[in-house]
Amino acid sequence: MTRVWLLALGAFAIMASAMSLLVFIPQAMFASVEAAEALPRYTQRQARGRELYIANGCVYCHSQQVRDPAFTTDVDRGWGTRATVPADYVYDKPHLLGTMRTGPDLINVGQRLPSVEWHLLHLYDPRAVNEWSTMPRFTWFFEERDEGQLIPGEKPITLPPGRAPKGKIVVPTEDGYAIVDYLISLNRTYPVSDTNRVMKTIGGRGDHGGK
Amino acid sequence: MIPSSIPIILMTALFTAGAAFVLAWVWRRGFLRDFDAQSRSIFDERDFRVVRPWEGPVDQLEREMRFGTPVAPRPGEWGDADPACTGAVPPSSRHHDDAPAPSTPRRRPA
Amino acid sequence: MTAPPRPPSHTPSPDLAAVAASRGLAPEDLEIRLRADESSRRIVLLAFSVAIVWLIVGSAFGELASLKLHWPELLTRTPWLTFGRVRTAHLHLVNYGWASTALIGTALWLLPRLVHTELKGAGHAAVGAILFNIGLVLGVIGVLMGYSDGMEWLEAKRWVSAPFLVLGGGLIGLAMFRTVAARRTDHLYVSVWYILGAFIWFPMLYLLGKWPGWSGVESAAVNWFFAHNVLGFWLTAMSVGAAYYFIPKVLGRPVHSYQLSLLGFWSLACFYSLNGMHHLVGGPIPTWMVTTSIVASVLMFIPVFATGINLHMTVVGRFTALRYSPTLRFVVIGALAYTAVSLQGSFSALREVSRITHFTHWTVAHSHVGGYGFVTFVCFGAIYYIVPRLVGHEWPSSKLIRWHFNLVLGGIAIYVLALTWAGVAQGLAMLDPQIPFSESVRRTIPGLYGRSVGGVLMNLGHLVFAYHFFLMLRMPQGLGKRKRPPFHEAQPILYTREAEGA
Repeated sequence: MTRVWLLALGAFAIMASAMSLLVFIPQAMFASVEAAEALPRYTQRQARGRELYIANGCVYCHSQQVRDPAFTTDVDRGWGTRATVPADYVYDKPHLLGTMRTGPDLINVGQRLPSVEWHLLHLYDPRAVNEWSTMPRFTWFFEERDEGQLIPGEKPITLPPGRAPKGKIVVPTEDGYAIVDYLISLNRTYPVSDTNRVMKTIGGRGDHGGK
Repeated sequence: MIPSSIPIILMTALFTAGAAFVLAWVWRRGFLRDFDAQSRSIFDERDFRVVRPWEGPVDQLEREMRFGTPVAPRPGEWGDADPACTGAVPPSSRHHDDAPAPSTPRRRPA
Repeated sequence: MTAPPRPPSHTPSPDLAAVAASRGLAPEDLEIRLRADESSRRIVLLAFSVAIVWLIVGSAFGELASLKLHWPELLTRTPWLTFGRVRTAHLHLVNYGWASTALIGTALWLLPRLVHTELKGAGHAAVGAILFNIGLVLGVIGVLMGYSDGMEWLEAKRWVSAPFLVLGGGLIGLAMFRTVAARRTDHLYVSVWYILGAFIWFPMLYLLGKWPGWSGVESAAVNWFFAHNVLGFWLTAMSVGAAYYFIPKVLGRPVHSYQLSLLGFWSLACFYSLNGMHHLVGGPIPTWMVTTSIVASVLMFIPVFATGINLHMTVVGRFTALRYSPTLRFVVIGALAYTAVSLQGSFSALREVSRITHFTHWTVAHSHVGGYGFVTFVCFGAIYYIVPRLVGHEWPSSKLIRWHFNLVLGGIAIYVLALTWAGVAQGLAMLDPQIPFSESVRRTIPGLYGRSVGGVLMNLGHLVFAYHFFLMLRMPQGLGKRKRPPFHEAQPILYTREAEGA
């Protein structure tokens, strides 16, 4: 049996040490990271919007991280004013950093596109806004009602000519407003005095293309 | 980078030393003796003797000399289907050597 | 001529000893193999059947996801079919459904043979397999309904799926360890190391990944520690273990160098485990973590070359065997894909390359070279080898095997070429701030169409394979009761197999 014990122990030990190196030790280091004062917690509606972002798999096309301008052109492209740092994500549970850019990065979309109407229209009919877009429609954030059935207090979205369903108006639901509220809250352009200093407190420089 | 590299260097040294120690211990315990023989542990006699249709006559002769009388492959031996693919051994001298595998009459198209 | 009756388990048929003796073979050799096969028969067939169902369903979801990327109006008003949910369903069904179940079935068949004993605990392993699949189904249905825990590869809701997955997987692992504990062999062949390792590592990874309470960038580190290591320590480990058995076994030659396999196993464990952060190159985590992963990714050359040299040198000079053995065809190509995907991975981890390929379709193409070209192909090869030994007769149709092979090989080749090209075009466009983002999307469209075409071929290949598997199970136990061959084998009376030149 010795061989099996040896094998099992060795396998366990190697995995445990890797976990220590890449998960547990960093966790201890990250414990000291605090959110900047300029970053508020998510409101209840924004948190609901974030849940919807997760539920609909937005992370599989959109990233939420800006890479260092010394490394690559995220900032030049207008996706942010600086690289994002760990402190930007303190309230994100779980992270939504993403690994695909079928669509643009969204970590600063609230600063880039602060209009509620734009986002509502874009979610309902992406190709009414960008004809090259391959984003799915999210029609379930809206209700289509017959014209004249508007409830007081509701505001239908304005669709370009030819794109509205015939004889109907499109009204966002609570969920629709929630996810837009979340998107508009995404803004990490507040200054961080020195991104490298922030990173140093957790044991390293910001990752920007090596030494 | 100095503060964060020291732990990494120390850990790398520790792990390398640990691995070397375990390897030495395993060697002294005799687990690595006759190591190549372990690669043969998946074979039984029959595996070495089965006729393999992709082997040329020289290789097949070598098998016969080293391991003994050749044995015909069973249907599906290589994960295949067509009985015509299973052997250089002519059909008349094929036999089923694993008796409990039910013998299938040679299937021919209708 | 009547066939001898199938013997009850554990009691050697009276013919067996006589036949063995007349052939100069030791009855124990035969007996060990037959008892091993008999003990694992039901559960392995169950595992393969379930796995193939998931292959069909999971591939269909994959095709749907692929179509939606260049045809966004397709089924776009249905929430449970939105791309973000369909993609996740596909990932779960093909990785945890098809690949994991097929590899578990392969391991349950392999392990008893490798340690020369019967499978212990086939009963609770079967219960475990069912529980595991219940967990998977709950997870996938949840995802389609919008219930997701949010981290890629770990979306199945923690408090719903995890109990089933953990308990189910645990029962299966218990059977593995009990079987090894009862072993009657001195040596543990390399495949046993990989299988046992996988069953130690996967639970560790899963518990880490599903631990509630990770947040912020620490959750990103955990996410990619899990996701990358589930590839290396679960899917790859089980597949490499299988390849180390099937290639030498079919060829009748031991692996090229057993010392290399020792090196390969432990260096895989040491280096692969540190790779995970290469998914976060440029991301908001400390440089030292990313650098560690890049270094480990490049060091992967060592285990990959060790395994690659071992497997390829065992085959070298005998490539004609691939003509005769579907198992070899699939497993050898799978092993080549393993070498290719690992070299590609080491290359992609370098910062200079990641700059171009990160966030693009290149990564998706890469993951399919590994998950499909390697893991799935090894599973196909394993199933072609194992099932005849469990049901007592060969596969009914070489034509169906050929169709399957050609379709899936053609499909994955088109898939990888089209999507890699699309990814590079996308990445180069995104790197240049003068080029608008819309252009990066436009440039991928032709490659995405190509990927859908490849996907159609793969789906068709899976349907052929599933049909063939169904035929195989339906054949009576080799007593020639079937009076006519399956319809696709029907030939005019004038032709024989030999005339066809098969």
